[in-house]
Amino acid sequence: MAEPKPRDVLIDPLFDNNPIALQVLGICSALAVTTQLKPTLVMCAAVIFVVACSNASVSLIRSQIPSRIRIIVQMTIIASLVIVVDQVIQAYAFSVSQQLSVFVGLIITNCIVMGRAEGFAMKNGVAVSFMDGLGNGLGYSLILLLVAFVRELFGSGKLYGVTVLPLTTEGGWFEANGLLLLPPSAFFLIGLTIWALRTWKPEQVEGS
Amino acid sequence: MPSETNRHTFTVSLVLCLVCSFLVSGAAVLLRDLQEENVADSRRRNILMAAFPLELPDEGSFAEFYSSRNVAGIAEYFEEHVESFRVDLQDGETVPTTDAERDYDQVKAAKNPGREPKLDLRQNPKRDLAGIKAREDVGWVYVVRDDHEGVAVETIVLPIRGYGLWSTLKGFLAIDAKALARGPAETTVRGLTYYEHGETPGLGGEVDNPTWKAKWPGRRVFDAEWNVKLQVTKNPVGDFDVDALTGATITSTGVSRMLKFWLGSDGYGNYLRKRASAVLSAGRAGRGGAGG
Repeated sequence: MAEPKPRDVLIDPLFDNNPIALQVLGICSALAVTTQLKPTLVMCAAVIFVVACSNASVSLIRSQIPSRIRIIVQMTIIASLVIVVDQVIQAYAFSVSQQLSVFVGLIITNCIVMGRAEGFAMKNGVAVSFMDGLGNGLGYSLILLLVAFVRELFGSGKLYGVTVLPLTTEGGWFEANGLLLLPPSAFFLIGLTIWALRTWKPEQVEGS
Repeated sequence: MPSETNRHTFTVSLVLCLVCSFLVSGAAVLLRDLQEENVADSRRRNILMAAFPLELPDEGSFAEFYSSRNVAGIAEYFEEHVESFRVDLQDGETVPTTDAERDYDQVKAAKNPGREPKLDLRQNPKRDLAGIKAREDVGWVYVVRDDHEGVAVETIVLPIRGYGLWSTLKGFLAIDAKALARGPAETTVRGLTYYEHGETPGLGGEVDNPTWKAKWPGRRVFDAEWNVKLQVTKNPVGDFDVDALTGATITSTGVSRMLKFWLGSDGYGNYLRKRASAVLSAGRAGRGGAGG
């Protein structure tokens, strides 16, 4: 296998190899945190930080990790980073941390983070692993922000907490779509995104 | 290839654990003060939001106050205008608060009383209107005092909680203290706010909706015999009724029931009675309505 280029590992996960749209990983948090843009943005920043730093750390000590306990070592690193991120969010973005509640802690179980550590960082250099983590975090964020944009705009008539479409319940004209506030709507939106992406890039269609 | 000896495995895991635990505990210790301040700040803001649902006396609107004041500003306002103390829910008497009890958490105290609770809701499930399963003996009361266009405003803010459809709703109910001093039938609500709940977004979750919260100020609470008449109902007719949330019958009923519980004699009812009668007798003695 040729040495991956930093530029490719950064750009590829956005559209060509998106962790949510192509690999269908990290769906749990994509459903849970995307009712509004603000918590989504914080969640995305947290995931980008965790996956980039865990990739870099795993890659840094990859020659020392005994293969028998490598999964546990990766989990320990990821879990520590997640706790640190959680503490920082609780200290500096308290209201958002209450909205995100357990989902920051659940980054530990996000398959994207684990998958990149095991699948990429164990075999590649520190810098390129960091870029790979950054790219995958951004690919995850891209889909989440798209979903959150639609859910917040049509579910509560707002964008980033600012009213765009005044709701009928508050004297405006826009009838909010209550389904978009419920988790299943994210399934539909992710499904539509995958459909759009595979129409644009037919090589992503499985079994063709 | 990394060596696969047991010794190497132990060394790697030991070093890793040490580094990681140092990182985690470092973050926890460094950020603890900020986090505690955040929790206290959010509590203060929620109390003030219940007390002033529409606007603050010295500001244009609460939204303005909310964005214009930082953590220190809110703490300062709280220090100047809010008196916090604890009361015994059983007899309504004020309980002294030592420094160690400054952070007394009544929800935790309900779960782990450490001794036999004065009212065991498990033994009396019929009295558990709020669906909280355990009640603490001692609860916080906050009294907010401010001037509104030259008129003194005094508000009693009580923490309330109770089960809705999916979750326990936690919030604050504010009562006009001046109105309470005139007797039970005169008592009115100043505001109601929830700071934590897991109700359905768009339906029960509308307890957060400012339009719905705006229906609370001015509602009457008791009849002349201290029976709680304040309720959420589908067909609001009188001064006691607040319009129910559309499509959220169970959440609305939950709100009604928790109000009945916390304002009744198993909740803050005894305290409110004592306070009213103390103010009344003080008034007769010619000292004016001080109370507190």
